[in-house]
Amino acid sequence: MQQSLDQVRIRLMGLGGHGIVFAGRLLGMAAAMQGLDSILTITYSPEQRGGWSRADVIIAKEMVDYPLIDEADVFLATTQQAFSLEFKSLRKGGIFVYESTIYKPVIPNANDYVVIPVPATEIAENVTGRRLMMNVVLVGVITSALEPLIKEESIINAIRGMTRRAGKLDTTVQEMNIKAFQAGLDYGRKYLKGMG
Amino acid sequence: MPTVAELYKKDLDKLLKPGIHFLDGNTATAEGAVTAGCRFYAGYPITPSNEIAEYMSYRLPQVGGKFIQMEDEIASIAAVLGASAAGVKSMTATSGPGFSLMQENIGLGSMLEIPAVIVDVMRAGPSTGIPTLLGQGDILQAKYGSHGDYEIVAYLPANPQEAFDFTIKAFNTAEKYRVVAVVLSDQLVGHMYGKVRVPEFDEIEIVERPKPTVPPDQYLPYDSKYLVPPMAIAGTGYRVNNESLTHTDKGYPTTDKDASFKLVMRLVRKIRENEKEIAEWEEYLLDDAEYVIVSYGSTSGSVRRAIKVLRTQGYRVGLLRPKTAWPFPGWVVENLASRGVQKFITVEVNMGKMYHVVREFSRGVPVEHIPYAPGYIPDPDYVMSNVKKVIEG
Repeated sequence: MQQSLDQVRIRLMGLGGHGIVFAGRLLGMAAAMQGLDSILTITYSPEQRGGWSRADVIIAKEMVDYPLIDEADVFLATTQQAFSLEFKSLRKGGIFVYESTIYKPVIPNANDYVVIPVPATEIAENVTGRRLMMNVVLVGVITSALEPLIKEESIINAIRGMTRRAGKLDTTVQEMNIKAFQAGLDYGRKYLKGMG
Repeated sequence: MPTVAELYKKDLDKLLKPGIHFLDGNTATAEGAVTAGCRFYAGYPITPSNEIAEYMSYRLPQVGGKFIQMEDEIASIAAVLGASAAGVKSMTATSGPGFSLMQENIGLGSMLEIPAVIVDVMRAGPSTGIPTLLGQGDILQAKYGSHGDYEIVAYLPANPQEAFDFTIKAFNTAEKYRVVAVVLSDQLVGHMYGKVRVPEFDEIEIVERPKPTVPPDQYLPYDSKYLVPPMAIAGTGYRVNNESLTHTDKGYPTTDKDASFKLVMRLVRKIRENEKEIAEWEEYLLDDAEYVIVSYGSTSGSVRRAIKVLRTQGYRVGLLRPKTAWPFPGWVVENLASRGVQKFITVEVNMGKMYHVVREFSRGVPVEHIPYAPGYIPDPDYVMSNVKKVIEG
């Protein structure tokens, strides 16, 4: 869907703890591993609990020059707050993804955008037994909209290569993440096909 | 020149693997240091450099190194100098307020000729300024912050890849010339994630400090027959004398005219006479440029975008991006001035720092500064409209 663009700008936003930065790292790393250039910048509000978190990813065929995003091609908001604050940054014709079990946004001029509601928490719980994998489900949905610029196996490799301060993710957690990702990818592919 | 593959054979499996990674600039800096052979870190945490200290605190023990959290930045740089004098490649990381506190001991390190690396992740100033936001105000302080005559080297990374690469270079330069080398990163470079390609270990060259070749009884710790005297490590049988007073070749305090002048001359000559070897810069669309924008660090990305757009509008603009602030590639500015450039324009997140340096070499060609210091880099639109104002007068 996005293959015609030289640069894709993705803004991910939600509540601190939703795994927004992790989602951004997966997308950025997958792109880097595919030979593309990618930059991720992170912003968050000052609250110790309950604040918002934002991850801006730029994926480009050539080297990214300006590392910040002024307008997004893809916008993910997992909370009403994130939607209210940053929906304005989505360009006309852009893709809007939201977590539909958490909130129902009232989208101004909804026909100007590709809107994908995703019950990501529900999908994550059904597939992995863990609600907190919803961020990776959403990475799957976003990947379905970016294919073939970002490939399924790149995200899977990124999950396998992802490190934390304490080292690599546990293998069982990795496998759960991969399941969650594939469920999101599936959901996104079907949803986009249905929109035809 | 030896490579990582030869020097750190037994540690290779513990280093960041060659290939593609996706790292934030601060982690890339820390990994660059570990790859370069850094095995000692002393520091006092300060935003926005914290990730470096946190990362090194568990990363260094994995490779047999030591991490110490000190009581402040003065002690941190002092510990780094001590560890390096004991033969271990050492570093610290800080931001503006801490960098100010370190200035006295930067002078000490320069006088004792101890290789050391300081990473300054620049934030908005003055004073404690805005801890979480960006500034580029420490450019002149890096070179002129301590008293007396000495030279340092300072690198200006613009992305995580350069944070990794330039930290290795900083260690190599510090060791080669026995100087303090600074990595002048900034908040955006430190916190943004980007693609980092780690070269194969046999492609990464590592420089080690010159070692004595004479027997201990003939060794002089500050032997002025060399520009960079061999450095003996305490405890290896050589007489080591770390003297901060102006000293003779033996390391004894002196007020002798010749000996004093010779020492100070050597401290600056070892960098000035090698500036063409050390200095690095990038030229972007400069061949036919009438207006040269000088910019560095994360700001240069915004300038590059602005130049792309200005070019499509017919403006003949180009970018000179110093990768080393010090030594500054002044001869490149001189050549551009002689070639008939109309104006130099400096774009940096401060009220005019490198601006003064460009003026020093611009041979009468006007230099204009676009001031910007709100804690962020200027966006491409801001750069474009202000560059147009400068061009159109």
